[in-house]
Amino acid sequence: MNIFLHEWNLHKKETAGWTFSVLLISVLMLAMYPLVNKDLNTYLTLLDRFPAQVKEAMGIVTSILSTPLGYYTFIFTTGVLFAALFGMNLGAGILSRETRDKTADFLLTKPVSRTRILAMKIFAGCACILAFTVVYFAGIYAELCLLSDSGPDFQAFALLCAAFFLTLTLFFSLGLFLSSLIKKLRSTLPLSFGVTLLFYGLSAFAVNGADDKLRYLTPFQYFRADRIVQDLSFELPFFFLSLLLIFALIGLTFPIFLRKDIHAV
Amino acid sequence: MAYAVDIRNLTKNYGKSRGIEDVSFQVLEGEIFGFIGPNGAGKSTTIRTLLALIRPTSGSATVFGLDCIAKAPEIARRVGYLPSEVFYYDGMRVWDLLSYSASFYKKDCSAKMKKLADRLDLDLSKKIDDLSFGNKKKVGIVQGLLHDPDLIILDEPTSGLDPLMQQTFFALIREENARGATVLMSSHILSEVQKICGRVAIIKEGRILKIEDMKDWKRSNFKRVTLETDDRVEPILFGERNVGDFTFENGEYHFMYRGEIASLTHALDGLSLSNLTVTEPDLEEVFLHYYTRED
Repeated sequence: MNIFLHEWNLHKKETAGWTFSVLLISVLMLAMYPLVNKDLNTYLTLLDRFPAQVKEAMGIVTSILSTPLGYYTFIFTTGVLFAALFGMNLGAGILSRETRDKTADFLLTKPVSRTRILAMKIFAGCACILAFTVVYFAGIYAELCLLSDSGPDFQAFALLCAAFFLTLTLFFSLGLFLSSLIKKLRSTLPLSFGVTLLFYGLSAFAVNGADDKLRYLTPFQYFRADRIVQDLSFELPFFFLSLLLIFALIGLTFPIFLRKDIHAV
Repeated sequence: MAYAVDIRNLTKNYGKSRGIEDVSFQVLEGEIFGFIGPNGAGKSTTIRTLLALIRPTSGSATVFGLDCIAKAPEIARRVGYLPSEVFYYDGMRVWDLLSYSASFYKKDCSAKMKKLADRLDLDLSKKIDDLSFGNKKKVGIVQGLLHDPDLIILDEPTSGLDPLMQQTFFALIREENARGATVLMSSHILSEVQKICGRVAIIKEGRILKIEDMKDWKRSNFKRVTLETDDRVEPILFGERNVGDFTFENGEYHFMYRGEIASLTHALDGLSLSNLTVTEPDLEEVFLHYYTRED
């Protein structure tokens, strides 16, 4: 528990900073809804001129733009991009900072197994992701309630929260796994930026619709907010794939970390 | 007597660069054991293997009879470690860092923490980031000793400590030893090993050259001698086996001497000296002139 609390204390400020930044961007974008709704027909005409790929990549489905939650699905894509960057960066840093900041000697010579150290760090990371998701969606829920009399559809909203959490956790696991492979990771942000933007870029190619298989290559396509709000369910193959990847990436990190040599400074 | 540390044929390969090869030595429970060698000889690699920070390529190492890799957490409960350079989490205060360290041992270490901090004149309320290198080293000493370890592993412990603090540090280590703790201390400074250790293992280029009793070693002091005299001086005057690197330049004789000081002064007695300097050689010189010949 001491490692969990220590890690939580180390990452809470960073988590709060990211959460409120992404929330602020989303809240400001969502605040545009009354204007969009007022001129809906003009917007729909304008959006129809966008190429299908661009609209798909941005999560824009014109028919569901008429409700605040439907409008939010467009913002969700942007929110997930920044949140994924946070998740990836958190995962990549949670282990590598011990070697980068040269604190590994302190921690790894304590009477605690490496398995437990890694498990506690993962729990702390998941707690940060959970806190991010809860605070972010509390803010979004409040704004959605302000924008409509009845509030958002609960099931659709809950599924969006879960999708957000799972995507973050997947990127966290990916960051954790990649950092365990790299001998000395000097800075996590270039890795996080590179990988996240690569997957986001792939997303644009993957959404064409003609070949659904491309969607398997990018986690940004596993949970599509527009479809979740329309169907009130996840696409099961992608849901299970995300779970499988999370468990596989975390599972593979353990043997690598257990056998890793910690060299002298 | 049981072994606190038992290292047998320990080898660690780092691909092209050298690690350690076939290292074997034992440390008895309750002794202060020195581990000495030039920089890059393999001292830290051996110590880091004992602490399960790196995995050996072959061979075995046990601490209190437990395998150092398989039983690392159990061993760590009884071991206190002071690395050559200490690094801690930014933003923490000394007290918080030491409390975090103590929390792993599941016992109240606060009294010992305060006692050690007082002895070392360490301000527990300061932020780690604001501490000098020497004060960070003091934090390292406190966190290595606060849980009353049975085995204390010190890797180049005095770097960064001023001479006065070095004395306090050695006094603390002697007290811990008197309490029953075994000490394994690596160093590349001969005089500090001579000061405190009972036995010493000498490592060079990843291999153990010799394990010596300090009583024997103290009889054979290493000194660098420079003398100015009009008399003709030959190495045989001091015993040829005791003299190395004998040169004559600009009217001065230079040589490395290994032996009893009394024999040296006795040999010098018959010379009409105009100047004499006897200094402590550094370890590199000692290794160059003695241990290369004994390979």
